[in-house]
Amino acid sequence: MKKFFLLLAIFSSGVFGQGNQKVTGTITYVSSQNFYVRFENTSGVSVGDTVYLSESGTQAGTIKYLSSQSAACTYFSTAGVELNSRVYVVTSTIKKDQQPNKTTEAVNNPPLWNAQSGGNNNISASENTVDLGGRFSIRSFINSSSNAKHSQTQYWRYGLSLRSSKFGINNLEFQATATYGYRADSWKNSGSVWNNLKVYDFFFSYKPTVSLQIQAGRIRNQNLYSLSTFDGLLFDYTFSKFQVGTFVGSHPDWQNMGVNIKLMQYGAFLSREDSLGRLYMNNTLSFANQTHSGKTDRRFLYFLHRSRTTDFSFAVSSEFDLYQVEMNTPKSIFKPTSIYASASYRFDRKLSFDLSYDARRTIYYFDSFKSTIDSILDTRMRQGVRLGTYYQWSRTFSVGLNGGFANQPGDVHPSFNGGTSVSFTELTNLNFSIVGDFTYLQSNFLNGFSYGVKVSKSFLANTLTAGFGFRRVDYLFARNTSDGVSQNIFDADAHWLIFKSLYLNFSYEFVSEKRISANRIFMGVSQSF
Amino acid sequence: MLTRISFIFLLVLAGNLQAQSPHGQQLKIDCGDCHSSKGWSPLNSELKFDHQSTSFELIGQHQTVSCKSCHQTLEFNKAETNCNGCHFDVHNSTTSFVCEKCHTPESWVVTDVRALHQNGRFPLVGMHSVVPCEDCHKNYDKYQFDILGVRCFDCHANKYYAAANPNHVSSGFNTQCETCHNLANDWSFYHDGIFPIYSGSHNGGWNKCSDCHTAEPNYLIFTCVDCHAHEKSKMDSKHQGEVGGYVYESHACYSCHPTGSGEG
Repeated sequence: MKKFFLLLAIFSSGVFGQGNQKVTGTITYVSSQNFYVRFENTSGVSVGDTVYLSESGTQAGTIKYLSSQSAACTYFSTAGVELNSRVYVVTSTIKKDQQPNKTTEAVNNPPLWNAQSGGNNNISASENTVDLGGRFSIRSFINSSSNAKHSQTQYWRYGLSLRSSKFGINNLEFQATATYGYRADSWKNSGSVWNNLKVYDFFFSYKPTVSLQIQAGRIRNQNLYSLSTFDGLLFDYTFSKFQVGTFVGSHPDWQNMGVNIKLMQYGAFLSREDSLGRLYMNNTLSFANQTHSGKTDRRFLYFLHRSRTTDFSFAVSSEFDLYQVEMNTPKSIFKPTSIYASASYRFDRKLSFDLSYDARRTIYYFDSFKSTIDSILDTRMRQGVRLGTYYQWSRTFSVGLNGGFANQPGDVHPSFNGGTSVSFTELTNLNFSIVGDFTYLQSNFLNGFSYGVKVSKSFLANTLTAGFGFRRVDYLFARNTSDGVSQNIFDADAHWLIFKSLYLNFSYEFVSEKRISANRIFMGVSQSF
Repeated sequence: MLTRISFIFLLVLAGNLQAQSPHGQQLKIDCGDCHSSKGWSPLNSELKFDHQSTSFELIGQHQTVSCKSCHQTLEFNKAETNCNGCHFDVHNSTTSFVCEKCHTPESWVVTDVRALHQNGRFPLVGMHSVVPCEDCHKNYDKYQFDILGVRCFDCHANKYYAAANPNHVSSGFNTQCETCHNLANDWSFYHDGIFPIYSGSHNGGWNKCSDCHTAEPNYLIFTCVDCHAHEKSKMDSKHQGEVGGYVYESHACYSCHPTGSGEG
């Protein structure tokens, strides 16, 4: 009997671990609403496929959810659906095997959340409903000072972001982000409302097939980071591990972000995703040609690499100008305008490191908006390095070290700063936190110290966090024998999750110098829906 | 013994069920923490799973967003933990990928502007404490922060070119504004930065600018040797034989005595 159970245990393990190739599997779990099937792999299997019982050949159910090795199925009939029963899926395997990996990934990882989180299992992919979410926010910024020229200014900014993963018809998505901001005292002088309205994106994405995507509107695309937003059309096609795309449209107006068809641009990108064990990697190369009234204004290449594992992440972003006007003569060049690299490594749950390097120059558009003086100054590339480490000494105590270096040709001194911070949490029975920090700075024109302390505490089951702090700054000017400058800075802030998705933010800062004092107040409320 | 073996069997079975979870093999928690025996859905009204036990604690507004905003699939560990995995870079690559350097999960609004500048190249002191952000960051409303120079001239070049009294261009002044202007006192002219006349031995030893600047408005031209205290005979007897290369000429005086004292 003992041997029997041991053999059964090993056997059952073997059965569950192996299964059959591609379309044959084993029922590994049953519940009142679903049953689970374990496959060797689910390549070629799709959501909606019918599952048959191997023994009788009768229909047991349909696949509702898929992962890379298993499926959750709904019942046709519970008859014969038992733990360890063998099942198979009849599917046009060849056709599905030819689908690209990304497509398979998408099929394997369907958006299951409507059923899971809402408890609504009846939502069908074919229903023409609108799944709309987003956020609305109102923010106010008030600055006041003892200086007559800048005695008080108040800014209002209203924000709205919308996102729909299903906009009326299947495979149609929608996204929009906009703000309306203005200075309270210059409302009448702000000109057209269009100057205050900033639309950061407003576009539809349609997937006629699982491989092809068409986007239209004011588009932001993850593969075109460097391009920011543009008005036009984008097509992308996914095959194997690659994604290739092309776009055409116009750059938003430089002044007010309105539509400006004089700023036409076009380009393309190629992206590839790889994964090796726990390492995920993405590389994207994009090209863009931007014009002004038909003349090339800027032409550049952009490369983005991102990779990560559980404990390590690395990213490189670089941009190269391919076009330049010199003495009114256009010519082709290959000049870096920006390189940015960052790496972070979490040694364990206590110790982590991060390092970044950046080298950038301000981008120069030859015909659009830069002056001659700008073009002279902007050729200087700023380079900087930052590094930091963080150690969680205990559950309630942590310490961090950071430093940075930056230089730009023409600077009298390179800028350097180094500092440390210590953090105590859950102090005493009052359960508050204290963070202290100290920074030494040597910049182009001054050097000195800043040091401060901040106390914060959570209330109302951690839905309200409030804190206050004090900071002292003592600087000396490096190239001037006049007085230095000292600042006393007091700040307070509060963040309150009032209801489930209604968030209130408040912050206040008062700074006092020998000859000037200033207040800064921010209030904001945001509602997600 | 039979009980013991049966228990082993159940453990193995449970292990296999776990491995076949649609949540992938990384999620090692009891199904019952979220699901009930009635079915996989709906989930329990109160989930035992504590997101704070993961490497991505839910802080600030991450507490209010729907799970699917970050977890696009049921394999929860596939969710990105870097900000830019979920959030688009609205700064058009003009800042960095390290969003938390400026932002917090509480809000995208950057409230601690002063501390950011103190950790950068340009701490906000004096008038720079009170001017609106867009005075320097011209594309502020587009969330784009182009590289800015930190020399005074980088932003105030127009004032240099427009200055009439004295005319900075025709006077041939250099573009290191802090040489003459007092950074701590509203940009006022500060002669002592070049040569102390409001302190030291020359304090009170002059009546008007033309006492030394004999070719106004060209303030690059100055004289030391027209003053009675610096008579040629006195200077020659003091320096000849003592200072190699000595010449009785104003620029030579300044090169050895930039602070206006006898020592240097």
